[in-house]
Amino acid sequence: MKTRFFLPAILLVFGLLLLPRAAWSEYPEHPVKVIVPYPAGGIVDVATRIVTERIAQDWGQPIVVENRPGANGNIGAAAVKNAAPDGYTLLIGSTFLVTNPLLDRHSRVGHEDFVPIGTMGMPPNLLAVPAASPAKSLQDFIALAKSRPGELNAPNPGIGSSNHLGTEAFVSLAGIELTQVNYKGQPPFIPDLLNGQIDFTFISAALAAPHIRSGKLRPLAVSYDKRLKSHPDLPTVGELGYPEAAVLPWTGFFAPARTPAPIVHRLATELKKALQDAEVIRRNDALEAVNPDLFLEDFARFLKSESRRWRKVIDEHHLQAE
Amino acid sequence: MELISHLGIGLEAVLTWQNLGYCFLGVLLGTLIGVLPGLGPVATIAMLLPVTYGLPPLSALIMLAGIYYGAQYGGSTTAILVNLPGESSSVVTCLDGYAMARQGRAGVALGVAALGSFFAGTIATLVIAAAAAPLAEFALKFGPAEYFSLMLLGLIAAVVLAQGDVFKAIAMVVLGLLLGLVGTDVGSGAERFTFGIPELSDGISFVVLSMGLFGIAEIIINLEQTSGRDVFTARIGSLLPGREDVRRAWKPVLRGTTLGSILGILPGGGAVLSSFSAYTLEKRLANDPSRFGKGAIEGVAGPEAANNAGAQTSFIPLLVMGLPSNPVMALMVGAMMIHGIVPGPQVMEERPALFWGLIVSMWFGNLFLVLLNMPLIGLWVRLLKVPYRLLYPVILLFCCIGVYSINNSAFEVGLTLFFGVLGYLFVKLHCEPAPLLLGFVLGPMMEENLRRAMLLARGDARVFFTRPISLTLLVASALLLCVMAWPRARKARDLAFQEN
Repeated sequence: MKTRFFLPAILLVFGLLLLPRAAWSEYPEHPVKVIVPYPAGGIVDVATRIVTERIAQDWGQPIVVENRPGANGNIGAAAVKNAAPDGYTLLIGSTFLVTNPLLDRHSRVGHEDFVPIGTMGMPPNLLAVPAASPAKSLQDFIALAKSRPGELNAPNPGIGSSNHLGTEAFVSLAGIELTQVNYKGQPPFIPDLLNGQIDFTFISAALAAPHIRSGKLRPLAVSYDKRLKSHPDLPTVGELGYPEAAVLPWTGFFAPARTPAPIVHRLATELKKALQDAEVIRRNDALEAVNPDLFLEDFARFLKSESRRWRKVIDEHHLQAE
Repeated sequence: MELISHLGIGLEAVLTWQNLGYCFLGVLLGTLIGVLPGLGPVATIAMLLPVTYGLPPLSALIMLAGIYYGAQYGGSTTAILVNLPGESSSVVTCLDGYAMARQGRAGVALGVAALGSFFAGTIATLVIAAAAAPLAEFALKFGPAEYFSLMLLGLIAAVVLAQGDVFKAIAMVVLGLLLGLVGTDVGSGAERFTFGIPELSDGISFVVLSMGLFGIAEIIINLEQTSGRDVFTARIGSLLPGREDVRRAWKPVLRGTTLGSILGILPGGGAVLSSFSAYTLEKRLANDPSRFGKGAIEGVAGPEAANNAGAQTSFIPLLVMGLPSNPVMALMVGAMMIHGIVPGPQVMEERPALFWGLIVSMWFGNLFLVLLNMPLIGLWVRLLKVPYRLLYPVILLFCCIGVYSINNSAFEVGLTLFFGVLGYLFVKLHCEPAPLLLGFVLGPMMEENLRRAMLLARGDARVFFTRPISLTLLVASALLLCVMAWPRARKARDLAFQEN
């Protein structure tokens, strides 16, 4: 008996779902899922939640942050690539979207699989040495490294990470030779850096800040094209003559390819608004985050230029994974 | 007295209804997720991170910390009752705790675990308050060479875990090492043994392996012997440890607390090593090592104290240096950063109420846990009276939910079932999974640190002998090998005397 009512009702609901929905202004009608392809509690996760909390409040619709770490971002990215392009599943993408396809020919996801929405705040890397190092400036360090080719150690917290690519770019620009020691992420190399087994590093400003304040780490330059609010006297790599060593681990929101343009534009507007919120700015400042402020077409153009830039570096240095 | 004034600052910060309430809520949640197999503190804290957004930072951190050490308490409950280690640190609790439960002494095992953990937690809290800064400096002295030597010591100790055949134990350790190699090589970025499956590119997760080898395999075994299970549920025995139990347990608790407090500080394998090495130590010191694995109370008391002490002191690198020592501590970093606090050496000076408040809250948390858990023992034990045909589907369901919640991956649920079948085969072949798990945990860290140490020393292997801490650990490894050979030598000598 009941089925006689149920069946048409179900068909009706599915039929409505299949209808082209004209009223896009209704978006979002239910919670939106944002997939962070990194572990919970990491810098990307925290930076994402700062923004999504704000947008969710504006919408009155929850945003569920789901952590899908693994395969250097590829697992989370693949999940979003295969999701329905309806604006209800979004990806937090980063440099890996550009570099993974270049580093690994078998990679099944790349930035072409997504529509870029806009960038969010991320802490840039600093070039730093342990406090005991004789190098007081970047020029000092380059001179030191030239006098001892291959003897100084630099950590590599992940193949294709901004730290790795930044180090490669800097080394070839400065004409020095460093031995790269591999670690699983940035926090594990900090003890070796503080106790002097590591001589030089590209390290996230958020992780470096407490050790700079306690005097155990000396920053030499910012790997970004603007100076940091918290270290106004610290020069950028560009000011010191190495603009190509500015490698920001840029991070932003992406939607699956073929997501309707009105939704993408709506998301970009919401993101822009959230990033101007005083509380979001305060929290981003505490993270030492910077934002290149790229949205939609600008962001897409930037991705293309990044792809060209890293193809060159990766080919020159033979960084492809086997 | 600086210590007392510091604890005073902490007390003042904690003794509000709100903070005590969040502390209780945290340990209650922790106990619950610890008891539910597979649902670990990592998934829970990750889910609760957004909730803490609106709380004052201290309340948020108190609650999250409570979930973590509360889960250690709860994790031993399932290890003892149904042979399910929820956390790597409760794997060894399974060995003798579950054996005690089968003898109808589940209540005693749970009681000793709770009281031992409370004692260890209290001492470890004092250790953090008194010596956090110098201990963190000590942890900094651990470079790749020291880690390699420590892992070597741990692997040798793994063989002692085995009850029977030494060769089978070594084979299991090696199999564990091989399973640990699955995933992306840190050195070259090349994928090893992944068969092109993206889910394997970060390796097999510990929970997947331990849940399969211990939990699922145990269910299959129990379903096979339909009658045996009833025998074990019929006798419950006393609920609380008696005088004889206390006499046997207090020394292992003391030793476990000491070991756990020291090893917990080390980033990386500290917490796992603490319970494993406490078990090894007790088995070595015992007059009759053959009782171990058959329900020796020392084998529950020592490791339980060690893992709880280790769980507390693992906060030291986080609070003093801003360095997370395990995935839960990494989440705590995230929780602090959400509130605009960058964990590091300056937190102690700039936010003393937060720093000391969190430490003092740990003692209250431990007190709540013991008050909460002692009355619950009766309830847990009665759970064993539930017919197994009703109990096992529930356990199985929670295992699957728990595994899924780690990475939201259905592949890992399937992998857990695969290891369940493998674990069943191991039981049939009389191979023990505990040494395999230790090999699995330590192997990859050992390889990583060996290669790193050799690279930093530019290929000079003498680095392991010239660094004092590393040398000490290598000497200890050599001594342990001799001690392992010793009972055999003594037995041979005794035989020789008899013949005379």
